[in-house]
Amino acid sequence: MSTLDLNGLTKDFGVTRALDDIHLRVGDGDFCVLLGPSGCGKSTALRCIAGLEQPTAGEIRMDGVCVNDQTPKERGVAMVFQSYALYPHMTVRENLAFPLKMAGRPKDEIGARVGEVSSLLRIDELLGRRPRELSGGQRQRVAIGRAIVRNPRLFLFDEPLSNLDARLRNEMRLEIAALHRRLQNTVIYVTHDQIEALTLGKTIVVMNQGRIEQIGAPEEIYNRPASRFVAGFVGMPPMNFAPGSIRSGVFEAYGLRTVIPLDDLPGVEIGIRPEDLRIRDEPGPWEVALIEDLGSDRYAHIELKDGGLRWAVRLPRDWTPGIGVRVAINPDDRKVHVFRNGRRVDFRHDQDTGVPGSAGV
Amino acid sequence: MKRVAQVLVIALVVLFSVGPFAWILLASFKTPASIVERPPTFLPEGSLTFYQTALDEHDLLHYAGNSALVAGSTTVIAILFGTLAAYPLARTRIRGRRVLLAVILAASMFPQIAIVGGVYRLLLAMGLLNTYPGLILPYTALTLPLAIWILASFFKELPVELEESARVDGCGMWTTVWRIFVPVAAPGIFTAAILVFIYSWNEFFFALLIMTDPAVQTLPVGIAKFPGEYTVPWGELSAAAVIATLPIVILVLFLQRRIISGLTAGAVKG
Repeated sequence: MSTLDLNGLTKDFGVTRALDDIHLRVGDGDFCVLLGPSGCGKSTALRCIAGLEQPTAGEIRMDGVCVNDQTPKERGVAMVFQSYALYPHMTVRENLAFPLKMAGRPKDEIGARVGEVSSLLRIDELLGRRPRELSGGQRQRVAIGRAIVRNPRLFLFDEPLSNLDARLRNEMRLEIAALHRRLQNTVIYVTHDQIEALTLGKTIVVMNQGRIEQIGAPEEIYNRPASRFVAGFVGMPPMNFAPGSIRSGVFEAYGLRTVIPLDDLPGVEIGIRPEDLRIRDEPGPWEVALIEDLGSDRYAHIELKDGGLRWAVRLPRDWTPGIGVRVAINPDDRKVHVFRNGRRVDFRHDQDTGVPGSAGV
Repeated sequence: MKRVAQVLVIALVVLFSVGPFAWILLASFKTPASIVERPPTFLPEGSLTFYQTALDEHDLLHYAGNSALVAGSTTVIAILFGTLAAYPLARTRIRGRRVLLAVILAASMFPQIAIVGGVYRLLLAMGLLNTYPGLILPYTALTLPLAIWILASFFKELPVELEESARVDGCGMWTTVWRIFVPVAAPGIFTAAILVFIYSWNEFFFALLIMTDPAVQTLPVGIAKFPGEYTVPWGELSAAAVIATLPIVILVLFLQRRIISGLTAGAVKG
């Protein structure tokens, strides 16, 4: 069991700054997801924690002890790689036993641990096989098994599911969640997939261009995005944005009007999620361009005739507008987000209870 | 029709490359009488006379032993140093990596005749003429660039995650190289080793100049001494050629599986 602190972690590759002054505290037993687009520095952060990269500046502490100068071996962490990185010349059993063997554990203990882990992950029957004889999902299981076999203080996952097909990915996601509930270990999990992040993470760290945009629980990330970037990155279809200004506590433009109890504020951007908009079957400035049916939900993509905006709106169950039809929309006032210079502007509606919405992703 | 043409072309190529060797093979099993017959016969009697003469009178095994020692040592040394040089060239972001590789390649471009004078004088000064190291040393120098190139390009194709994973799993640098990297890189290492071995096994020019004492001469030089002043013993030459080729053929057949097998398959998502 372990805690992790990153104090001002910075990493340069030549002239590019991959990580810029990262401060993060991961508590014991936390499932911390680093989420961001590719190139945001999340994998670099993970590799610094593992000891595969040397930070340019800053400090990495595990259980309060600075590990900057420790080798990966000394840090005692385990990592699951995106490509699995199973040892091709070893059987599954040998792969699972390898970390224990390197730690110099006695033979009978190794045998017992390998047996435990392989039954936990249901790979008992594969123990005699080589990695090349396994399917993608089986390889993934073996890779996870090799990580948990020696009870490391910290688990690092580097996009572990991105090489699996969609169905298997869902399955493994649930398994990883169940595994964490059972083992209660501290996990750092890197992904660019927001669904993985929102479903697995206890804490989500949204990263962009080497910096942390927001740290928070999944509901917080979704319902109170700290920046324009987080708001646009998390959520599918993404949040709708429109530039404008607030006058006398009202934002009014593009045929929509919403009450925002703030002083006059120019140069803001409002953001509204597709499920927080209501579409009205009456002629307005918006025109339906496309209907997207996701099975459980349907969305209309609507365009502003002369504003260049393209928004998504969740459709009610009982009505589907035709393509090219003109419609009007109104937002749920309490669910409108305001951003200024890319950062969230906080305000409270009197009727806002502060309870996170039931909105799913 | 297309298939027939394919087979025909392949047969022609095989005939062209295997033909001379088959001729030698057949000749080696003839008798001193049948080998000079006119018109020539194709099929030999299966006599081992030439082999016996080659081994007994021409001391072939002695030369083969020398060759094995020189070629074997060269291979071990060249592959050892080649691996040590190729690993960082393939894995690290050292400055001037490409220039370094180009210089290494350039070093192997000199024709032997251009460097033999210098090599001879160096060995003379070191007192290494007519010694095994006197041949192993230049052979290693000549084959090392080739080994480094083959190994470096092969190593570059291997997934670096395997080594990173090993480090996280608790391996130090040497354990990682020895337990993970070398087994996975085995096909590439074997390929380079075979090429180095074949080169040093077959090399004639340096061997002829450096080794003048029959006690240390290698197989190609030994065979070259077969012809007498008035006779060319075709039969014995053929037998000797077969014996000299055999180790290479066996080596390649034996290691073929390791060379070709995609050992890295399944390590990472392909």
